[in-house]
Amino acid sequence: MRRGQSRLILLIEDNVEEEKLALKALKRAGISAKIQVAKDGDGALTFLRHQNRAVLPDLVFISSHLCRDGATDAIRQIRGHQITSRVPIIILSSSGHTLETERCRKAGADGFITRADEIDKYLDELGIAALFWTTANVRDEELT
Amino acid sequence: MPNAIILLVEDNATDEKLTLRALRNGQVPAEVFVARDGKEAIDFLFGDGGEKAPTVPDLILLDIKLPKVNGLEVLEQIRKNKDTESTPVVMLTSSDDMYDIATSYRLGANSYIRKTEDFDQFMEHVRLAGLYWIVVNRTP
Repeated sequence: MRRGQSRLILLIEDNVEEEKLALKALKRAGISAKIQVAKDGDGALTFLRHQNRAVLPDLVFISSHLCRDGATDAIRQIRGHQITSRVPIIILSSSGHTLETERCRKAGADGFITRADEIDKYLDELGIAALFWTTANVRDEELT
Repeated sequence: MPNAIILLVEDNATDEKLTLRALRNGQVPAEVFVARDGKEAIDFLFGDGGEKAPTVPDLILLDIKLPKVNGLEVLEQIRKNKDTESTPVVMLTSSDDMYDIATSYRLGANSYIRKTEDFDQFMEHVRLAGLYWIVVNRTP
């Protein structure tokens, strides 16, 4: 855990219902990190550009369908910037491995969570991912 | 994922016991193999040139301060090998040395977990690591 620094999750999602679902999962998991929601890739980049170096995200969730609409640029820019190059980027997919998921991966996303099967499983997995990256993982402090 | 394999590379018997307990109690669905020094880990992963065949685990939990070959050297070999270049590696160590953290990431570690003296926190962090990398993480 980064000493004396706050934790942050960036959720890039334009669908209100999907956003509610993700926030429900994070609340259910007892996440204490701050959660910032951006509606698209441009919104995410604007947010990141204005962030203090010490409060950059520990984890980025991005909706897979946004990769159809240009959010891949946001992923590439997050990956291309020294400070955020290693931030885990997880795709949230409503239907598993799709063309959009593949586009996100090619742009530099690390993995994906799908809610194609059971909603409870999806909420649990999203919560585990958020807990792991915001409580257990130690980031490279040289970069923050 | 009942056939998942975790390689735990740990030379401290107490830490080994606690880690195995955390994975078991956390219901992480994986078989765990233990290597007690860096050379054992390398032999497990790449074969020893004799009877031991190479094994590619689904997750490697890797301590840094290890006898014979240290964890950072093991990590370097893991990333150089085509079969293990993308295997998730989580450093699980008591070191909070900035050099160890930075070097681990530079050499390709996916994550870094500091062993804390807080028993409950240690158990929770190992549980989360096991569940995240074995159950949740899917590479597209």
